[in-house]
Amino acid sequence: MGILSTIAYAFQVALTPENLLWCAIGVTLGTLVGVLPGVGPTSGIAMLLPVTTLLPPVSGIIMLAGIYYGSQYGGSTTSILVNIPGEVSSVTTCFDGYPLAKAGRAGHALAVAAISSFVAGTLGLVGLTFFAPPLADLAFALGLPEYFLLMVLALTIVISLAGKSLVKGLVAACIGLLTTMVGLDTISGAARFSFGSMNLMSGLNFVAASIGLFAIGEVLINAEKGLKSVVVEKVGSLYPSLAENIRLIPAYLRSTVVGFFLGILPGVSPSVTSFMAYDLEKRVSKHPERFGTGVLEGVAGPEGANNACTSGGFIPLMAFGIPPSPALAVLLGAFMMYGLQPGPVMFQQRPDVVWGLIASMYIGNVMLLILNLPLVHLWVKLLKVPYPILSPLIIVFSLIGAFSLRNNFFDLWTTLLFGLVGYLMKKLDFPVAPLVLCLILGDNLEALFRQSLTMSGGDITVFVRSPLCIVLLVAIILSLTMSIFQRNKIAKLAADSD
Amino acid sequence: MSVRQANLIAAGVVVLVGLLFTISSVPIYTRGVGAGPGAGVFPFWIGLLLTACSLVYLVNLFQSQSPEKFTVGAGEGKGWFVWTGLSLVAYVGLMPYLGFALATFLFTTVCLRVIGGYKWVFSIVFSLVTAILCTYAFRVGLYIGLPTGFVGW
Repeated sequence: MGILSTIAYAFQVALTPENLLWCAIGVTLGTLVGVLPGVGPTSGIAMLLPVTTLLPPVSGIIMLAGIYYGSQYGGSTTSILVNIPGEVSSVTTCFDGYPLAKAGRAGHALAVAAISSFVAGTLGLVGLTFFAPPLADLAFALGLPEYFLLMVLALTIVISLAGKSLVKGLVAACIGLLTTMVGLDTISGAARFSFGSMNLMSGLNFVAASIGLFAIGEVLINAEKGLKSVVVEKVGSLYPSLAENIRLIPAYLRSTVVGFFLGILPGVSPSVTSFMAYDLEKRVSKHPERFGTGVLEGVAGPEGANNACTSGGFIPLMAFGIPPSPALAVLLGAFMMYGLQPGPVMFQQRPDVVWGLIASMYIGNVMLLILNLPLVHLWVKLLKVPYPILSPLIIVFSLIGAFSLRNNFFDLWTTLLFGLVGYLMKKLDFPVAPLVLCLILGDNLEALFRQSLTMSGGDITVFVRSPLCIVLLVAIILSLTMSIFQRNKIAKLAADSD
Repeated sequence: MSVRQANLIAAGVVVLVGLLFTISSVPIYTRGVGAGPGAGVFPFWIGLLLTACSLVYLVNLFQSQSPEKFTVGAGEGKGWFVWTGLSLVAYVGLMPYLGFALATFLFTTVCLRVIGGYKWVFSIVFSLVTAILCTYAFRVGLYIGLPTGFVGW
């Protein structure tokens, strides 16, 4: 198929009334997830994942993806109006968004956030449309050992970037991997780590665990903080002047480039890209001293970057089946629940899913612009819902999601257990991202490792036979050593400053 | 308890988990198909890696000092935390017997009345509406099986 016929086919799939409806529901829920503090895209996707299994795969994936990129739009609303980021990726938006709101320009800040998100999100999608297929073709050239090492590389990058301690990242990753090994071994049929329990023999469900880690863990953290009702600044008039919009065009484009290309890398979350885009805007500005006091570029940069990052993140997911962030890892789980394996084969066997999803994201971005500009007052009202009302609802929906996976009470206890684990990990500064990624990728990783060795008759040198394997191994070692080096440097600097 | 002591306990628990997985992998180490590695190979090495990492973590902790205090559920919302935790465990524990609707009603009421400090009338009405709407939407609308308990709904 040529590119034009592919695009026509993509929109043909996405524009069916059913898919349009689920896209609209997804982006609306995504905005809601972004607006409400204490609910993130990862927990939002995890909570709703079991419910979407009732839908056809294309509609289900379209809706869940809508929650992900929709949340990036919604996160800015709370940052600007109440100085509480709805998402981690919107922390930077607080720096200038809230001062703008205090100065009576909340409407302008919200409009710039929405326009920047739309421009960067859409341009990022153009990149996804053109970059993902050739990369997926490239993935065909990878053998089992290369694929295994590529996955290990992605994980090591995530571990290297997550949290303050490399050791803690490795511990979290190992716990995630070991969790996936509980239950029947799919290759030999041997029972592993079930200790005589029938429940453990059927394995620990990764969705139940993800719901616990993110939704329940977050509720416990917020309960401890005693999250109170918020004071919302007045929105005022929307839409900045034309001159201001024209002045912001370079900021929109810079944030797209930063967000998109960094978003392709594993471990670089939208929050990292928004910080980098903010820093870039400050560096190129003629008046860097004004940043933090309420400049529109300080809103346009981070908001554009976190949206372009979400589009960029879909490239490794779609082309290689490797999710670069926890939210996309849970989305990969959704693909798996539908019996789909993102990667090169999916481009050939299920073009409806791949292209339907990509086209739906273009449509979803337009829907989000409408949802976030004319309907901003509605979201502001929702912001006023007190957390003591919100938290039991989050728990009820989380537990319905966990129970509906297998109609099993054991999954509810798994959710609670991982909720406690998530809470303690946050308290003790353990990164959660490596754990979730390993929870989702663990089965594949082990299967690739064992299949590679089976193919080579048990010869471990299969992992160093091809030049690509060696390149990947060197990259793995480099990412870990650089991480150690960098952390030591930071520790030294901290000690010197003391 | 200091943050360092809490980390020491966490490291100790993780060492034990690592050892448990490593030792439990030994009997199934070779159980596999054909020339490929057995079911225990991957967990054995990952378990060993976990043990090694947690030992490094433990050694680092012995060398460090942190006067910072570690507290569980002792922020501004101390009461919230304790009640949320307790009511969550009770909610899941009672659901098989009471069914989804009744357990949800009781859980939401406790959360609103005790944690949120709302009046009884509001708490009961809100919880009733939540329980009925959730049961109806998920069971009837989305055909999701929810626990029924002894009352049958």
